[in-house]
Amino acid sequence: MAQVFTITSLKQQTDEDLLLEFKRSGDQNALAELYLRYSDLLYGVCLKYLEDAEDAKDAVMNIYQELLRKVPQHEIQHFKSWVYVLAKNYCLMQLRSAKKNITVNLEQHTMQSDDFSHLDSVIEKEEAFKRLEKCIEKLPEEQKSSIQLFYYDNKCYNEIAETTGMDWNKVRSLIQNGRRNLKICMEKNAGK
Amino acid sequence: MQGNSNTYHFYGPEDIKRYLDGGMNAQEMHDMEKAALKDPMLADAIDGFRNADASVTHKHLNDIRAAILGTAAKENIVVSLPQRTPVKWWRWAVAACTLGLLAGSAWWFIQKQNDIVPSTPIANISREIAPAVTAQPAAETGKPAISKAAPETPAKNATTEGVKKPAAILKENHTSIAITKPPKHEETALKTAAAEISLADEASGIPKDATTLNMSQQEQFAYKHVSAAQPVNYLSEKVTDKQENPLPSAGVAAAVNNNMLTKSNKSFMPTRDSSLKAPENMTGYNNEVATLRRVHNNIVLKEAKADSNEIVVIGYGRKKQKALTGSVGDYQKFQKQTEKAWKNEIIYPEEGWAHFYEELGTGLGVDQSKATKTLQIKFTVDDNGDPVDFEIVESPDELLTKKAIEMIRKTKWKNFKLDKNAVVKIEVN
Repeated sequence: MAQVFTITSLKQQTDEDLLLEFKRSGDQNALAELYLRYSDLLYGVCLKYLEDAEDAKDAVMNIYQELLRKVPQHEIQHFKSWVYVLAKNYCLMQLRSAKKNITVNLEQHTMQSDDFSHLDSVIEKEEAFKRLEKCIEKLPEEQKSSIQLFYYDNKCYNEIAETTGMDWNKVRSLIQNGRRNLKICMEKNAGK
Repeated sequence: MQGNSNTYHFYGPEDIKRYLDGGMNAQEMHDMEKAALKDPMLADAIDGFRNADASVTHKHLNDIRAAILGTAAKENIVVSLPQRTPVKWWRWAVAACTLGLLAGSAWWFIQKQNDIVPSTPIANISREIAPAVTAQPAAETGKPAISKAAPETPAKNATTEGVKKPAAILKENHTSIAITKPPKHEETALKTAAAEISLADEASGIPKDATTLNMSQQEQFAYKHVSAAQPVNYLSEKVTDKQENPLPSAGVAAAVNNNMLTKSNKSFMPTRDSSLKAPENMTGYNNEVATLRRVHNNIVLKEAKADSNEIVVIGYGRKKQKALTGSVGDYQKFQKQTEKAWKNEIIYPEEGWAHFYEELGTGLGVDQSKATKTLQIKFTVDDNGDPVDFEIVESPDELLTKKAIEMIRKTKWKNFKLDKNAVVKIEVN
């Protein structure tokens, strides 16, 4: 009886499988494949903080070298989040070493990071929908209208900006802040 | 939009570019913005690409990809094994058929060769049809030489026709046997010749097929039959005189009877219970016909009274044995290949006796059917090959004799014994 072997290419493997493969065998092809899935976005992240294309490129390649050392030393549950934090910290360290005085809105990203893990599931839950509506009613008017347009009417930032006449960046900020306030409200009303 | 193992779509630089360039519709933009709210990395990337030069970022992304892949390849030396594509069944079938055909062809060729190629006898078997017998006395006996002529026909006749007469050929160091099929008009002479050399003893069971053996050793003749199915067989014989002294120059002629297995090359092999009638002859001794058994044979030759110091050649057959003359033959039918045999004679025409007598008969205008008289001329040959010292032994007509001498003079002769004479004897009208 013929024995059937299933050989899965690296591209078909999940992040967790590739990470496990690299830790198990030290095969850098697995880690390279995993890193290349996010390197483009990481380049954008570095572009945002370093504000220089060449520096961003060097940073992305250096981060890969750091991965080779750090991945075997850490228990990584979610590679994408982990490598994002690693890249952002690397870029901030680069900025500090260069003694550049820049201002980074960490609050915004922290809030988004919290949303990333919890908010979606709360909103999607039927039983939490009423609590969500009550929380939305409690939001400031601009935040409330922006949240409703974005989530209920599925409008994009441009459309909301056109509808409300507000600036694109303000729309985005209203939506992000409204999400944060909703989260706080939902957590407060979670026990009720 | 790129797929990802996660539950939401994964956005890449191209999606970001489309988003920033306004290439997306409202729904796509909303979806991406929604994804960016969930994914801080995507949100930062969108912000990062927003103010970057697209051509530069595109180049850098390629550089990054190449650098990472290059690093991985440098660190991991992977020996790629050659891919073994499975050999399809029909290729094996074609290979098997080819091998089968080759093997079959080889087997057929070998079988055919076994049928065609004759077995190799130990002694040389002359493929040529020796027209006559020339015998030189053994060195130790010092006997005079006798030349005997025997009628011959081409080998192809011998192999295709059933009626064959034995012919004995006695040579200095070897004896050859040829299967012959003489024409009708020569049968009388052949019978005479056969009687003289005691080969045509059909009453005693001598076969009609005659075969010539070359003897490499006079004490035995052996025949080796090489065949895949038959073993090698040997016959040996010892030829002595009355005092049991071996006669190394004795010639042996053998004939094949029904108990012989005859091969296509005119060689033969006795079967298990057969015997072989083999005539033995030697200059200065009477011919004997002996029955050869499977292994050892002892033949005793009796010494002949007569002696000869002449080479006697008789043409146009139907002649009786004369004193001191040896063999009999019709040389007209001799083929060119048979004429090599003459090289072993003492005196002979350079182009062979057959050619000589053919020319002589034509030159003299002899009507063979009316030939009743005998013209006999004796001569010798000098160092230059020219005939000299003519002696007319018998002459029915002076004019014919002069013509004959003239034609003898025109002929180039070979002479290895300057003290010997040659005799030209021909039947004329």
